[in-house]
Amino acid sequence: MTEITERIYLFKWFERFWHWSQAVLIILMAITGFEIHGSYNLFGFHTAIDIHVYSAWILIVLWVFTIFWHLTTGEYKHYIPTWKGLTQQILYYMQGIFTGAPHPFHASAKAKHNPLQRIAYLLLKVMMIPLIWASGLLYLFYNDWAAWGLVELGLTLEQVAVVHVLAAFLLLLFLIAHLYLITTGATVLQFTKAMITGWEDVPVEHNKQPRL
Amino acid sequence: MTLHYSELPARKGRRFCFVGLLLIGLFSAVPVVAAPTADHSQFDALQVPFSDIEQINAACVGCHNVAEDQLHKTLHWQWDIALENGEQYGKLNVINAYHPNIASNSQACGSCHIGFGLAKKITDGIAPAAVDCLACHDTSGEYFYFRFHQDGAECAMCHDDGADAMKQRVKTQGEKYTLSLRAMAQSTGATSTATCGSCHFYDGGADGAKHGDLDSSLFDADFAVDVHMSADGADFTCSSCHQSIDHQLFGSRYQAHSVGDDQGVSALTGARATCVSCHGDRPMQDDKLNDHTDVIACQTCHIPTYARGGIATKTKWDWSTAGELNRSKRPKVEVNSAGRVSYASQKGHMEYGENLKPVYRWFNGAMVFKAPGAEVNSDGVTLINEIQGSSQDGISKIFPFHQITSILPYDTQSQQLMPMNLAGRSRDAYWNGYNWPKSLKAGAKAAGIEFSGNFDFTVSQMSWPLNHSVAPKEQALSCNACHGATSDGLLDEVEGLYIPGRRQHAWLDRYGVLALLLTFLGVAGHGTLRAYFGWRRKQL
Repeated sequence: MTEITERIYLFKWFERFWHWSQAVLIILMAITGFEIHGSYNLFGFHTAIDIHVYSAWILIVLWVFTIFWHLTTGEYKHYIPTWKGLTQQILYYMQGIFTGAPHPFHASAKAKHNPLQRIAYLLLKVMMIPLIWASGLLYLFYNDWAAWGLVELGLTLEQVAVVHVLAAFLLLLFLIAHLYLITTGATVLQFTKAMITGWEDVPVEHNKQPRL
Repeated sequence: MTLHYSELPARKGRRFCFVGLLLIGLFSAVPVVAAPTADHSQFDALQVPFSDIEQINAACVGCHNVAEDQLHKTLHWQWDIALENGEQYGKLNVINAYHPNIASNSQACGSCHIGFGLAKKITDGIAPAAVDCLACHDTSGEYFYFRFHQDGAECAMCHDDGADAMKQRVKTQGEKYTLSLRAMAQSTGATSTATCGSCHFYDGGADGAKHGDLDSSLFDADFAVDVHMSADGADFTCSSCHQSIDHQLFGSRYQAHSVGDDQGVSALTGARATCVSCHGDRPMQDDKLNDHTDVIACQTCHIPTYARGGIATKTKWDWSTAGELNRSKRPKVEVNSAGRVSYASQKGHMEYGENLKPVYRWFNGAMVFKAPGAEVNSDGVTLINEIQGSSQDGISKIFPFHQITSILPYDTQSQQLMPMNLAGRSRDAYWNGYNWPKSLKAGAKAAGIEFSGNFDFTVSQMSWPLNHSVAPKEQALSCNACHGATSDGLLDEVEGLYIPGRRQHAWLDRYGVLALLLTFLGVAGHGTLRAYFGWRRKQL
C-alpha cells in the first residue's frame, strides 16, 4: 500500500527553536531540580542551584517571546480543544494502532496537532508549566514574601516546595508519554524529523483540499 | 587600633548606599585611634609608692570623681539585671553549670568582681564600694596577677589543678610579674582584650573552660581563629563591639539582641554588639545566601566550629565524683594526655573538646535562666537555661550553641538543685572538708533554701550562644552542610524547618516515582504490543 503523500511545512523555524531549547532547558532543570530536591548528588548543590536558576531565567525569556509569537501569529489556535475526532483518536491508540488501521488524523497547516495532542499540550501550557513557574518564582523570591504580604496569608516554603516538586513529577510524566507518542507516526521517527526539519509527509487523499 | 573598614565585604544591591553611609558615619563618629589628652605618668597623685591595689583606686577617683557612681549602676558591679519581661537575672540570681551559685561562695567569686572583694552575704545586692579601676584599665598586662594573687583569690576558681602548674612555674622561672603598682597606675588607659580576657577568658575553672568561643587564644588571635580580633583582620578589641555608655557595656548575653537585630545602627549611637550593626542583613555577594538571613543567624554559618584556637573548652563536668583523696588524704589532680585536668578532688571529673560542632536551635534572643534551688527534671536532663524561640514566632533564627553537661547535686526529697558551698575557710566549704552534706547544707542556708539532708546527683545541661571566633569566610558552612543528598544534615534536628534537599516528603517521592514507573510501564507495554502486532502483520 503506497500512499500518495505531500510534504508540508508544518513547524516554522521559531517554533522548532522554541521546542528544542525548551526541551533542553526543561531536561536540564529536571536533572538539577531533583538534585536540589535531594534525590541524588551530581553537580553539587551550589552548582545545581546555579544551573537551575539560570535555566529558569532563560526559559522565562524564551516563553515571553513564545507567548508573543503565539498571540501575534494566531498559532494559539492549534491548542484550542475540540471534540471532533477525539473519540477516533482515543480508539486508534487503543485498537487501530495495533491492527494497522490508518491514522485517523493527519496534520495540516490548519491543524498541526491531533485532538488528544491539543488537550495534552493545552494542559501542559495552562496547567503544568504555570504551576511549576508560579511555585518556582515564589521559591526564587522567597525573601520578598513578607513584603508581598504572602507570609501573613500563611504561605510556607514547604508548601511551595511540595507544589514545585509535584509539578516536576507531572512534567516528567508528560515527558515520558510525549517521548513515546512521538514514535507513533507512520515511521518511528516521522514526527521527530518533522520537528527537526519543519517538513512532514502527509497523505494527499486525507486532505480535503490537497495543495499540489 | 586601626579599623580596616575598606576590607569589610562590599555590599551589593539596594541598601549599598545606606550601609556605605552608615560605615562612614560609624567610623568617623567613633574615634578609633584616640590620642590621649592626659599623660597619667605626670600626675602627682600617681607618683606615690602604692602598697596595695586599693590605694590606686583612691588616686583614680580623686580626678575621675563620677566614675564610681557610673560603675555602681552597671551589670559589672551589680551582677544583677532587671529585664523588660520582669525577670531578675545576673550572676547574683541565676545558676550555671560550672561553679553553679554565688550565695555562700561570694568571697571566692569576688576575685572577678570589679570591686575589692565581696561581702559574705550579697544575696540582697552588692553595695556600692570602692571600684578597682585597673581591673579594666590596666595597660601593662600585669595587674591581674596582683589582683588575683595578692588579693587572696581562691586558686580553684581559675585553675582546675589548684594552681599547681603556676606554682611550679614560679619555682623554676622565678617571679614573672615585677612591675610596681605605681608603674601600672601611671600607664592606665583604655580597656583591652587583655583586661576583659583576664576574667572572661578564664571563667569556669580554666582557660577557655566556659564559653567555648572565648579563650586566651584571642589575646593574639590568628586570622583563622577570629577575623575580628586578629591583627591580620579587623584588629578589634572587645570594646570595638561591646561599647559603653557611662561604663555600662552593650552585649550582655542576658539581653541577646544579636538575633533580632536586622538593622544597621545610627552613626550617632556607635556600634552595637551585633553582626548586623556593621554588616547589614544582606552582606554576602551571593543573593541566595543573603536569602538565608531571615531564619539563619550569621553566627550559624560563620562559626562552623568553636574552641578553634588550640584551647579546649569544658564539655562535661561531673561533680558527683569529687572528693576522692590520695593516700595521704590530700586532694589529688589527674591530668589527661593533652595536659588538661581530667580529675580534681575539688571538682570531680572533667571532659574537654576542641574544634567542636555547635548544636543549633531556634533562638529569639531570650533565655530562661534558673535560680538556686531550681526544680530537677526527674524524667531526664535538667536544663540550667532554656533557649527560647521557635520556627513560628517570626523573630527567631537558628543559632549555634555550646553545650556543657554537668552532674550536679540535688535534694532527693524536694527535687531541687542544691547550691554548693565550695570556697571559704570553714570546714563546711567543700574544698576544705570534702563533705557534701555539710557543703550543701551551708550552700542551701546561704541561698535561703531548705535542705532535707538527702541528696543525689543529676544530669544537667547548659547552653551558651556562640558569638565570637568568627572564622574566615572560606571556612563558613557551605550549602552542603545542610542541603542535598550527600549533606552533613547539620540542621536535621532543628524542628519546624523545611530544608530543600533533605527529602522531607517521602510520600511525595514515593507516589511521584510510582506514577513515573506506571507511565513508563504503560508506554513500554503499549510499544511492545505495537511492535508485536506490526511484526505479525508482516508475517501474514
